[in-house]
Amino acid sequence: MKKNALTRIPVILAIVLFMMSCSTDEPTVAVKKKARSFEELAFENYRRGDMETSIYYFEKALEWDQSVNNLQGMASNLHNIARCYVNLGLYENARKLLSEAVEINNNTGNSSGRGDNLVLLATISTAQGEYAAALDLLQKSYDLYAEDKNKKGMATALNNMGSIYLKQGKYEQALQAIDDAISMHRKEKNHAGLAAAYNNMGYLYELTDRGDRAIEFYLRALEEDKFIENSLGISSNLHTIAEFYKNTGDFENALFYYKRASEVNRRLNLTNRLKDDLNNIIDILSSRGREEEKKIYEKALRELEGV
Amino acid sequence: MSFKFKHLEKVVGFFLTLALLIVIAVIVMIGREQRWFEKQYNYTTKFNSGENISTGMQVRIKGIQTGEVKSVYLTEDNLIEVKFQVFQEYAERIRKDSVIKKRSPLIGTKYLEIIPGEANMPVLASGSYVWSEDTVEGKRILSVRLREERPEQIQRILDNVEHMTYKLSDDDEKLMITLVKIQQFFDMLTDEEGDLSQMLANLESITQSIDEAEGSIGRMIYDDYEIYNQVTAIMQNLNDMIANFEELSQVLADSSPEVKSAMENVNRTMDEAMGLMSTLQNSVWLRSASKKTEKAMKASPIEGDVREGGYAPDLEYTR
Repeated sequence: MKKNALTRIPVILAIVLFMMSCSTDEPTVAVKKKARSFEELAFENYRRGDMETSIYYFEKALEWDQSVNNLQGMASNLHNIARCYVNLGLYENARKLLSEAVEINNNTGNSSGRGDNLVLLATISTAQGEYAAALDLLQKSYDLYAEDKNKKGMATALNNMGSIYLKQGKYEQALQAIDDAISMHRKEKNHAGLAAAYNNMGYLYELTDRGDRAIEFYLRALEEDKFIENSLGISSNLHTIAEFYKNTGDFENALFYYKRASEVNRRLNLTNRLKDDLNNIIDILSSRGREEEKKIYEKALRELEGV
Repeated sequence: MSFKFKHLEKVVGFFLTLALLIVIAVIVMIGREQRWFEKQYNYTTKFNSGENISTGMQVRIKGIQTGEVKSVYLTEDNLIEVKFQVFQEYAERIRKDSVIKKRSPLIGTKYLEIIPGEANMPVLASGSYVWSEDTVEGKRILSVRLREERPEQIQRILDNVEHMTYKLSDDDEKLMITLVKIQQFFDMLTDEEGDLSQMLANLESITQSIDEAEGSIGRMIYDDYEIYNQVTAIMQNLNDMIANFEELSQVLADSSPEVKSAMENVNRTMDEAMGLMSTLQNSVWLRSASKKTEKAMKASPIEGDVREGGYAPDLEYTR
């Protein structure tokens, strides 16, 4: 019997060691928190337009979510990395990741997540000129968001439909879709969505020769982006406003906004955007005969191009 | 003589062993969360003043906790020597030109912030000395970085002040309304007798209790990990809002076509600030905060709204 008692000791030790090995994983909450911290860093870089760094941090967040099998986090991170790839024009990479995200969302029955992925797939289709396919995807995403009562998502789908109608010259349908998107985003207090929808409404008015309304909406979009400190959006808005003034022959205002846009882009280190702004500034200064000022910007452009 | 277990002794022994195993497992799990088993790297720094520094205080890099203060004491030359630990995974960020600063947000937990060193500088070994912002070398490193990053911001602030002065001389009713609102807000903040001031003082004492896990309320909140997080999240919200007011000069100084919408924007910020204050005054705020934390733990997708116009697609994000 004494022998039996002694044989129990290694068994107990084995159980203790096994339990210790199980318990050395970090608690799920702490890991999820860490994943969200990386995600926050990724968002920060995304807002600054640094897609590469953003992808790096989203991948870190993905690793942590994978370690605790946080499916919702995994799908969301895959979607976000895909979004970065879309912004970089790497559509195939994006599609691959999106198919993984779609699979996870299908398994978890996350309608809004599926809607998000379809919206991004629609963006890819739009970029590739497949408007009918894009509209179809957006309609499906709208239905999925509606299923989940996700008003923010519904507004996004509507706004993006409006954007495609604009490309197709269907202004009545565009007006209706964007207007509905604005109302929904307003109710949801979604400033990022509002900025995009106001911008699109401005663009619609610009296309239909209602300049006064166009500038009003462009400025509203700028305010929304400033409110949420969306540097990329601010840069884009300033450029759009500058283009508007340039097209309407108001060169002084155009110059003012191009300069502001160039300042933002210089800080964001978005060289291509900055070059575009500098070229526009040089064009305007040249047409106004302001040679001395023009030389300064030409020098800046040369330095940027490394000449 | 052989030794035999009775049946009852076997049952008791089994349950005792089981209880012991559970206790060990719980200790190990807690230890893992508290990083008891993780390798820590020790560093030392010195400050001129020990105000706002305490043992157990968080050490952060870019807002993420990377370690904690282990000891604080007064040296013979009347400087404050602070010994702190950094978790293994962040130790390689502590380099020769790293600088440590005290951070005391208006509302929220005080902490030490490490400004990580340049990637080309050598990593400091455990036990090394890290420059603090109070040292000559620390100041030099910080000023070099500031010189690299800040001159344009200073120029912009000066421009904004100039614009603001111009706008203040303008008879603009909206601007006056906004300024009155701001005045009211700061009156609320500075009024020692006011509800808000007392509420903020209460919050400060609550968070201190949370940090030190003292008293029954402190322990209760400390035990509820999510509520604790949410309290600090709300504090952070308030901080962000106050930071927004610091940027007010920039908003006000925007070019004339945008003044109208800028004013609306500022008014909205003020209203939201007032709203948040009244929410905090509500006694059930802790409960609603807990729900928000759950939401905060969820991953979120990037906004997918497409916008027309702007730059050509091939110029959008490429550098």
